[in-house]
Amino acid sequence: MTREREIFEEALEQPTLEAREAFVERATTGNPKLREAVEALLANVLADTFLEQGVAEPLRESLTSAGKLTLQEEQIGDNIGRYKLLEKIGEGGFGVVYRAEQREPVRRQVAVKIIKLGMDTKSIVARFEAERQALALMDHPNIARVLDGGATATGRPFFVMELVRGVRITDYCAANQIPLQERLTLFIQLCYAIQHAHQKGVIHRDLKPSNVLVTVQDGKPVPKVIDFGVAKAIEEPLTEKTILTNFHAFIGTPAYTSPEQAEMTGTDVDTRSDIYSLGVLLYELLTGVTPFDAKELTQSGLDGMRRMIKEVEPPKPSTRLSRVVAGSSANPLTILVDRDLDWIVMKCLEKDRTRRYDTAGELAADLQRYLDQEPVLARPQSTAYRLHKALRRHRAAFAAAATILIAIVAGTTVSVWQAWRAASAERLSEQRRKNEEVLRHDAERERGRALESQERAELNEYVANINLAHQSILAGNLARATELLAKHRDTGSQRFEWRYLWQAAQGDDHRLFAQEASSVLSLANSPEWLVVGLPDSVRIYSSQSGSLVKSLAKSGSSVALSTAGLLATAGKSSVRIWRTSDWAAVYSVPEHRAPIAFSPDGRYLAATSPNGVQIYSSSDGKLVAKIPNSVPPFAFSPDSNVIAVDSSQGIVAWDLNAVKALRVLENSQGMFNAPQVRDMKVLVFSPDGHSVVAARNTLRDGSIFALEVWACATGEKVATMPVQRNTIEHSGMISALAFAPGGQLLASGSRDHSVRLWDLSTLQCIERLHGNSSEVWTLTFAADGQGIISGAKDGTIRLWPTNATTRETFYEGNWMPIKFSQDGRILAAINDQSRFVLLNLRTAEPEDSLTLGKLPFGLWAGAISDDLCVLAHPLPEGGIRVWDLPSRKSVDLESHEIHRSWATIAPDGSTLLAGGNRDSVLWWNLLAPSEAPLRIGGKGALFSRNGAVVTLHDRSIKLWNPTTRTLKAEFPITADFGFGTPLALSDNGGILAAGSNPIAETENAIRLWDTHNGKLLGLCKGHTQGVRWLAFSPDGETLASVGDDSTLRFWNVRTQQELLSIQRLADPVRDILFSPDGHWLAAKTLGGLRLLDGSGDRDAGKTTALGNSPADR
Amino acid sequence: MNVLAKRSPERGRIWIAAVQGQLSMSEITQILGEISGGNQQGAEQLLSLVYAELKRIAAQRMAGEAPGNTLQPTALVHEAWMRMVGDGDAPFENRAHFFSAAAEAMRRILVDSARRKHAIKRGSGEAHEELQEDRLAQALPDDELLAVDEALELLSKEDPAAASLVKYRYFVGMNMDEAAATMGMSLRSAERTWTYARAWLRRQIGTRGSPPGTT
Repeated sequence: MTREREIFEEALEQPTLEAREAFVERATTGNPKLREAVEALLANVLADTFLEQGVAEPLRESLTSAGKLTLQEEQIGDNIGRYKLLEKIGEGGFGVVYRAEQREPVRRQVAVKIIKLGMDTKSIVARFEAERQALALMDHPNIARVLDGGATATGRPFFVMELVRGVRITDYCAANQIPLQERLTLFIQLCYAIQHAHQKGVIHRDLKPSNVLVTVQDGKPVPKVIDFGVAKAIEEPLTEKTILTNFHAFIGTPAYTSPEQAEMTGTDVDTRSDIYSLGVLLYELLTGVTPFDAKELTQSGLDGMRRMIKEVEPPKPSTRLSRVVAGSSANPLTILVDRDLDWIVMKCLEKDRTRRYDTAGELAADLQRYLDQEPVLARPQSTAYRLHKALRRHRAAFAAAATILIAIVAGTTVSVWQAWRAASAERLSEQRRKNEEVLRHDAERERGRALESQERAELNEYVANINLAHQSILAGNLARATELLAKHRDTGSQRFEWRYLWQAAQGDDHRLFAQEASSVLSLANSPEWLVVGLPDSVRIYSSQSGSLVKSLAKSGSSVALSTAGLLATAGKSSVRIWRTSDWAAVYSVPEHRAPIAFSPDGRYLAATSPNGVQIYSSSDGKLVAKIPNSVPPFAFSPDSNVIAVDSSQGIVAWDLNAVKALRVLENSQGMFNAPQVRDMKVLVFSPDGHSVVAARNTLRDGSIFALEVWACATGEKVATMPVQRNTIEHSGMISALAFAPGGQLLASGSRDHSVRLWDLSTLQCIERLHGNSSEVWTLTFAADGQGIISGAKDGTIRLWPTNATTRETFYEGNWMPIKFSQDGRILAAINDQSRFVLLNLRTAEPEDSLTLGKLPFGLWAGAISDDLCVLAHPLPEGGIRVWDLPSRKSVDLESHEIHRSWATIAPDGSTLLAGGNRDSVLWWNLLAPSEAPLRIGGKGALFSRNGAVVTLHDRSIKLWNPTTRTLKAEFPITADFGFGTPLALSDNGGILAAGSNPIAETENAIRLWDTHNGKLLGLCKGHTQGVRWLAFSPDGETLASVGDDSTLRFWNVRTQQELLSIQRLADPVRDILFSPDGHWLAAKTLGGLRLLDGSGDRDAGKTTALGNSPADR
Repeated sequence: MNVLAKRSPERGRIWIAAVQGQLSMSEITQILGEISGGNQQGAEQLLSLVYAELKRIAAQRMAGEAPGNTLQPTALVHEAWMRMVGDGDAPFENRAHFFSAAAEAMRRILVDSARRKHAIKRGSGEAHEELQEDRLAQALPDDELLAVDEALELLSKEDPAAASLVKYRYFVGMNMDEAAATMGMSLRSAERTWTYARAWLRRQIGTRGSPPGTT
């Protein structure tokens, strides 16, 4: 330091101006030049803003200019991230599209769309990121996958998509003169693609010919929708100002813009806006022009354009066609577009979106009806119209009836034909009766359809909202999920998936203790008090009553309670000590700041000074020790003899009695470099004093947001949690740690909103507590160790019981669930150690068990009757052993055909169906097991809970009378049932579900049939690999499935739409089973048996009556 | 004056890699390590890397910003840190080296820009630059900035720590806490240094005849 500066600084310390002048005079005696310099310096100490405001404003400007100079358009050959631009393939209102090459992780060609300059890159990328999860869920052959997105080096947003080499759908149809039927077929495919996206919660928002490309695959045209997610990401909240700047962007596609989009409020766009755009597209496919002329729209100015879209009724397609034809006679579609298509198109183009089709699927279905010459729903429903359609369909039958009528009239006069007449009259009346029946039946069906469409609309909305709610939960937005689910409480509360999501949306069991007005910075508690530190006050609550006892108007960046009846509070510049008996201030430690801590024995107070961490005697505030070179965080050992504190060498353990460093903890350098982390409680001693645990929020050894554990005695690093490398528990900065009193249980709180519990003895994360709606900033254990108290950024303080029940119960071991008892209280299961148990789900104890002797290595483990009395399992040498469980007696069913096979038992235990892999299905009467079984053949057989029997055959399904074992009906179906095809029968026996033959087929679909008539109800498509297990919910509304892709999916049976897809529980799922009350889903996973709780619409904070601590804790 | 004009071919390669976001974090860490080992070349290399990164981030950030939105220079430097080093287990010296390079880079960006604007005003600027910069750099109080910069050069010879502190606070926009932490000094001594530096600079600029900060 220069002499000049020394004098200057000391002069400033002088208490008065006179003293300052005197000091300077003294210090510079004999050096007038120095005196002048110092005086000039002192004269320039002014309390103005010189240099203080930094250069934020000018910096921004200059950086803009500095940046702008380097901005230029991307060139062919440039690399955008890991994509190399190869060729410009398009240019539109928003940006430029390139064909590009991706080199890793796979080498492939992709399309890269770079958005034009002048748009808000940051929010575009943010919006894209927000949409990404939903986009990733879309998996449809007619949708181009969105692969990636981000910002280029020059700051322009870009999107990476599957490269589609195709032409616009309109161009394709026009150039190839595609006939109407094919156009509609193509368009129907498009509708289903849009429907798929809508089900995943994604709205396109910019459907137009240039976003629907047709490629030709194997000689067949395949439409592909591109640009999903792009419109939403680049859509800006529109204000008058942005309307002006984005006018050109907007008018890129006004012809396809729905009235509500033209409104430009930007908030109110839903799936029905896409329906409108589909309508415009269909209009264009039929007539060759859009409902409103694009040029006319643009010329009418922004307001005129909006008015036109919102108010003007466009001409019907047939009207438009006749007009077009008047001009040129070249359109082959002219005469073909009839009134029905008019209705369909105009229903899409309704200004009031509630009058449009509710879903793209409905639009597709109506077009299909048109193609099948059935009545379309779009048309106003009148009996005359329906009859007209019915007549057209049954033209042949009506004609026959008319002929016979004429014959009768003639026949009455010709006696020779008397006899014949009698017979034919009989035939005739029969025929007429039949015809009437057909008509009546048709009419009924139409009525049923109309009813169904209302129902369908509701179901579609339900499915869409379930999807959205699931995504909201995954994204941590529990409030939004609750809101979505609440809309369907009436119907939803009857269904497993709704209850399951509802519970997830309520978070884990907890209680809101208090809601503070500002963020909770720190917490301290004792059996008497809970002290809450806020930015400008400290609030003290009674631990017992929860009532507010005292509020201190001091900053509470850090608070601490001592066993000696003291409270310490600290802000950024001072530490104060208070008496807890009367909350009187005792003393303060100036120039010290948060964080602070009392030693467990109450002797010491540690606080942070500019020169490092210092130790005071807590009774009188006298300095005891300075710990050189130290920085927070720090922690006292339980015996108060050691303090662990961070330093530039790493975490050092200091002996407080000898005031010397004991050791540096191994590899503990640079643990706390993340911003603001040093003020938080991220370093703790275990209650036994053996271990020191620190939160590491920095990337090291392939992990981040981890906990490091050291042995205090040796300084050796003993563990990192999570133990597995490359696994992440917390997904945000860990901001607080706390040990349960006297235990090995450690809680961590994080900015990811969650609290996690760790068992230090096993080094496992044993509990994840969700329910906070903002960042957890601090936490502590209740004094009795029975709960965790968390404080969050949003000012909430929550109590989390550590012995709370969980929604998911887990049983270790390789258990295969077989059946629930009727009341759902008991689960029959069998494990790979040949042990059979009846597990009481309330006590988690077996009610009964049986060791079965050696089981064969095979596909199935056992079958049991609904009353859990009759158990069957295969024998290693072939045949089946049947147990009467109450009497423990068994009988063996011998058959050389039954070897490594499947079996199923009637609900009442009276009969048993079993089969092998050579189309041999045998049916035993268990009341007389020595009788030879009935040989009925087939590929598989199922009992429903109400006792119906369905068998599956090569080209048919058969229904049987379960008591007489006789055939009731046979229906032809097309399906390929192979060995190992997963099957399920709804509880009422009405619906049969079968997965695709995993060996023979590649579509990975589930087929649903009506067993009353053999009619295929539809396909559930979504699994990316073969389907392995199926289960119906008891009400038959929901089907659960598990595939080789390890996902557990739920389907709405009536619409075959996917409700939700659970990626994996904790391990891949293997087998699933609903409880008869629909409250539980048992799932066998690789790690053990899991029970998913969908038992009720529990409100936040209330505990379920169910269950003990799971067996593995 | 553009620092990049002086780069050697080898350094140029690294610079391009950094601009394309392909320079791995470990390479940056290696350079930081070299500087700690006293390698002066490393310091210059780091400076050009940070300079490029700052410009790149700024360009990205500003490309879509509406006029009137401000960019926090501290955030910019921190982002550069996160991108180039990560918040990982960097030793304190690495952090210090990095931020010192960032402060210097930021100073150069600003001073370059102020000079350009100055030159344009006087009509001696290059014509093609003038068009691009004219509109953008209007609000720049380049008189104060250039004066401070000039005086700062002198201060850095007399009291390098005080000069660094000014760079962190004035050019990077750090608050006192951040600057103190970055320099590894206590808040109290940072405050003292700041008082001294302000007085010193004001005295220096004042003797030159145009007292700033009084406007």
